[in-house]
Amino acid sequence: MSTLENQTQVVRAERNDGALSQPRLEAERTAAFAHRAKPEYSPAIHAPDARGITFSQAIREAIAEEMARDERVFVIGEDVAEAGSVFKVLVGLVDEFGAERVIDSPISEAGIAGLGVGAAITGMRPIVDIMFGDFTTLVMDQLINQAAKTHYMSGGKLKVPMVLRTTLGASRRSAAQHSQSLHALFSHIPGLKVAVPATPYDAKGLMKSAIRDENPVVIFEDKMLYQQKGPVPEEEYTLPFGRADVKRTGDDITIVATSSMVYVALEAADQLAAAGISAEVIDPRTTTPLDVETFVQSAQKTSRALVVDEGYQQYGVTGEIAAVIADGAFYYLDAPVKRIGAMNVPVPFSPVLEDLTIPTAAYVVETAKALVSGQ
Amino acid sequence: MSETNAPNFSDDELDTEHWLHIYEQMVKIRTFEEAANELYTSAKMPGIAHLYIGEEAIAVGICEALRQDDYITSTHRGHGHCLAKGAALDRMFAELLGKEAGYCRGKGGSMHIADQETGNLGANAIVGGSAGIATGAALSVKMQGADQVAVCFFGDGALGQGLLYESMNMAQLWKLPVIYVCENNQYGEYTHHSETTAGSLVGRATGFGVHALAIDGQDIRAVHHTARLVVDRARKGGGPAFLVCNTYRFRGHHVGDIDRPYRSREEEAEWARRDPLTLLEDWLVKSKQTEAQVFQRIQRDVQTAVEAAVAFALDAPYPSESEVERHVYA
Amino acid sequence: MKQKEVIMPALGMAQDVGVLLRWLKKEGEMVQAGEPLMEVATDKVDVQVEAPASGMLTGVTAQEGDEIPVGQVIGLIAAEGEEPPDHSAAARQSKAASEGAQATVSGSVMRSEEDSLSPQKSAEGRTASPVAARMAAEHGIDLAEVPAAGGRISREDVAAHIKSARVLASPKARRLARERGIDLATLVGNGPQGAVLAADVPMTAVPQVVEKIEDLPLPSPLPDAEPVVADRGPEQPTVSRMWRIMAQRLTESWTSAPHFYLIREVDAAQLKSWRSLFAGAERKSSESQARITYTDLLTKLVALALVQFPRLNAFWQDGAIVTNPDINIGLAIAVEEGLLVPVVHNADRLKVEGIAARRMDLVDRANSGGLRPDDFAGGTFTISNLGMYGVDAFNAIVNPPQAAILAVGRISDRVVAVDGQPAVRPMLTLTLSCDHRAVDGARAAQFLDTLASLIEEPLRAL
Repeated sequence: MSTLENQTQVVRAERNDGALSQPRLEAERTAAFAHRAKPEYSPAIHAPDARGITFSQAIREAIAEEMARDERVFVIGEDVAEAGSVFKVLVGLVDEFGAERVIDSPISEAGIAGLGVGAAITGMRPIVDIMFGDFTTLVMDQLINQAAKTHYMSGGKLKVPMVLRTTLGASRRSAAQHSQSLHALFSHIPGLKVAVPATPYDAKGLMKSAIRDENPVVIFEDKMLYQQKGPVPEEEYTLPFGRADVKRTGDDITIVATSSMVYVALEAADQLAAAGISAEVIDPRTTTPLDVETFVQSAQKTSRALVVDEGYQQYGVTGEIAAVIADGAFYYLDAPVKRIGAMNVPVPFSPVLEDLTIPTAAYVVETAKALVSGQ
Repeated sequence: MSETNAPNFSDDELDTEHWLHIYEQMVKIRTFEEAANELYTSAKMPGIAHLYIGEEAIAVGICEALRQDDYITSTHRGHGHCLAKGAALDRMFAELLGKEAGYCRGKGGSMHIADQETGNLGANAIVGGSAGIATGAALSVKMQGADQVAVCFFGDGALGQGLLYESMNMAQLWKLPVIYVCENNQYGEYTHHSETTAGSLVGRATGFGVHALAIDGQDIRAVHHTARLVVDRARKGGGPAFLVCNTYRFRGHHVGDIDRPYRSREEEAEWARRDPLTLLEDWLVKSKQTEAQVFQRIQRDVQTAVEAAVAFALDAPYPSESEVERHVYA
Repeated sequence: MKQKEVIMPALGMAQDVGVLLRWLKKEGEMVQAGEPLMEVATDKVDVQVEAPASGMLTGVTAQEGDEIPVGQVIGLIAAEGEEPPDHSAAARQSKAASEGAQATVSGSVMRSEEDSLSPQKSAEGRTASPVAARMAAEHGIDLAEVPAAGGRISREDVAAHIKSARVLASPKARRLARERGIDLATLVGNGPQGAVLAADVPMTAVPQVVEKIEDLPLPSPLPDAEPVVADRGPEQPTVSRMWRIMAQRLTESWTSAPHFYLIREVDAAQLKSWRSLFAGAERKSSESQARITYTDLLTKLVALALVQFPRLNAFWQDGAIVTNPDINIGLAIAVEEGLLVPVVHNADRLKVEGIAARRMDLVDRANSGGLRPDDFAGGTFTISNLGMYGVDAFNAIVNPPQAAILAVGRISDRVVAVDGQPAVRPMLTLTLSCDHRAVDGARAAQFLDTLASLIEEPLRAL
């Protein structure tokens, strides 16, 4: 993975190029489609001059700020208090807010999720901490049948403003039950919102929005990103759900990538640039709701799209995003929309095997080149 | 047939008026359920309903010990809980018929009635599914420094669900004001609980250190007195309680379960002799607190109210199509 | 028998399968005998098939879109009071029927909607080689749609069909081509499997004849070999299946058959007087008779000339020249959806009146969508007459698999030398297009010379 500093430079350079590409984009358009608005992308790197903190610190800051702002917010989970969570994301939080608001729970994922739903319905704003994304399978009923349904089934009377934070991502040599990326499961469910931040900036902004949201939100943090550094302003900010972020602009191919796959895509984009291929990298940031318009506008511009996500490829996030692009940009596509997900196998333990299962920059480059060259 | 370890109680503090109100509440549930059955069999009600007839003493006995701002969570057999907690007949029927005037704008139906104004956090069609929610509500109460109590109603079938025990464990750990009320109506759907439930029922709770009692669920006096004790205890920070209320589902598992091949008519007749309404009538008459015609007047009044509510619900409009996408997200 | 089988009808001579486009009645619905029951597509036409009996449609085994061997039972019509049979019963019956030697047509053809350009197939039922059948299956190709160079569909036929059947192109390339008025089939694709990509679509269209097909007067025989591009507005009408097939067949001919052209001017004075004889007869006749046109006369004369020159009545297939036993003249007719070439069978043996009657019938039904597959079958030579549009002369594209097509211009008075003196004569220009693989220049020239003689002295010939 390339460092964020490198990307910052690259993306800055691309922002200047972006202006030059507009005439070309316009030339592509025909009178019949001229009424469509030009895509308006937000800048790729936000607050580039801000202090650099890690993804982990960004999450902790978001939670701490919201707990300070709103006394209804509390954290419940396994090893969240004294231990500060197994990934040390919450270290010090219990000292700041006390054991009443940073609650070490038994190893009862379904139970704490259920308590979260009940507390949320009755006026609290719980953050339920599920240590590994794999363990979310234990809370399926509470999230899917309870949290996601309560508002609708009650005709809009009851609300479930809770956050369930958990992890995704392989490559920690943790084998099949601690390495999955299961965000697609929850993205499938109406009534839930799902965030998959890639940068410290996005992580903080999305976490704060998630805590303030009136709906159940599942936020997936990639375990491999916790030490990733990036600029995060000290000032208060939140990020809207359902708004994708263009991490890099380009003209020849759109690469939609989620969570840590954003870095894989950015690295691939660097290599593709060396080969004369200009790749646009878009980070959905939330998989439900999904910013379809931004993908479609980009794909209409580039005529080619590739979707990269660390979930299993079959029936995955990549499939949904590829479908909305194929639907919305069909008459602009010069190649089939391709998906790259994790291999459809349980994540193996042995490092040589595990590394085979995850999308890599090299594979993204290879696939993108094939799409652009029409092979 | 069931263990009972209810404490002795005295009736000193409760007057006749109180008991007649309780009687009226039970009659209301009974009459509501009979009307629901008729709506179903005459094809006026979509879906299905699980009738509470025979178990009225539990909902009324518990809820009469609660304040309006106390919480309950209910089950698929939940009409009784909702009514006992204060739900209105007309909006209940409207919900059963899928009408916009229903408690959930017709989007919940028989198994999902929720009414936050009466503290009803929703009936749940996942067996045992609300154990976490009720416990979470109790956690909420405690964190907010309030003195409400949460009651989690569930059937003997839910004793097979792990979530119940995860929740009970945390409730006792953190001394949460939650009462787990197991309505042991003997059957989980079509299977007798003895075939699915090993060991002691109350022992499930006492293992966690939770205050646990088994009582006669047909005897409203036993249920109500016990409820007052455990609710008061929880409200004062004494922690959770677990009540096993032994009762019987007079009708089938649901309105369509009419031949009930899994149980004998003799067994049904045995339980029918212990109808909670009759038991209360007999006691009130024997203790010379009232006369039989008072019950008939109450029944007539309730019948009139139920008929009016049914008429309201039948006439009420269905939700507009725009309702389908509303309330997916808040 | 109280129930009547509904059978996938054989609608053409060379038809093995039919596609059930849609049921017009639902299973369980009552139908009257003769009511439209289903729509069936062959490679040539889409037709409505009538119910063979009255009763309830039951035992339906064919779904819409299914390709079904002709003769197979696909449903039953049970008379009232009859128990509807289960599907397996119908399936058993259908198996029996398809194994039976004789396929029966369960209903009559009501109308024809679309057709291909190419009317001719070998007269006998076509078969396919096992390799061809396997290739077709592997590529998901309907064998019935594969034009065979010979009586039997060969591996080469399937390969050629695969190559020509569908222009592969990206959605973007398709859109750009449409917007720029470019025929995708004319482009060389550089994408996977030769697919046309956006970069393969030139910025501007090559100049093309732009003509509103809607403006063409109908009905009338319209020989036409040039692609006609529909009006290009922002809202483009979708091209009919008939049009696509026409485009495909002509492209196939143009790109595979080496064409050469012979041009001959003939004096049409005798032809004109011959026609006036018929016109006089028409006026006298009390019966309504078909009016004799020049096309009818030319059809007769061409047929007579073909008797003498069987090589012009032949075609090239798999390295051999195959001659046709019958002389069946195709007449190019323009209709809204495209070009039709229905056939006057055995034109050499018909009287002029018979040819005219047949021609009138074909034109009427072409315009009402009532042509049958057999109307297109077996053509061996085609005449395309644009004389009524004031065209002096034009080059036509050979209609495969045939050896030649005759393009007929208008008759106009021109100054020509007669016996060393300038004279004004009604002249007619004939252009004969030939597939050089089937016929050489000398033979073609002799044929054209004979035809010219027949036109100049028609009464002597008869």
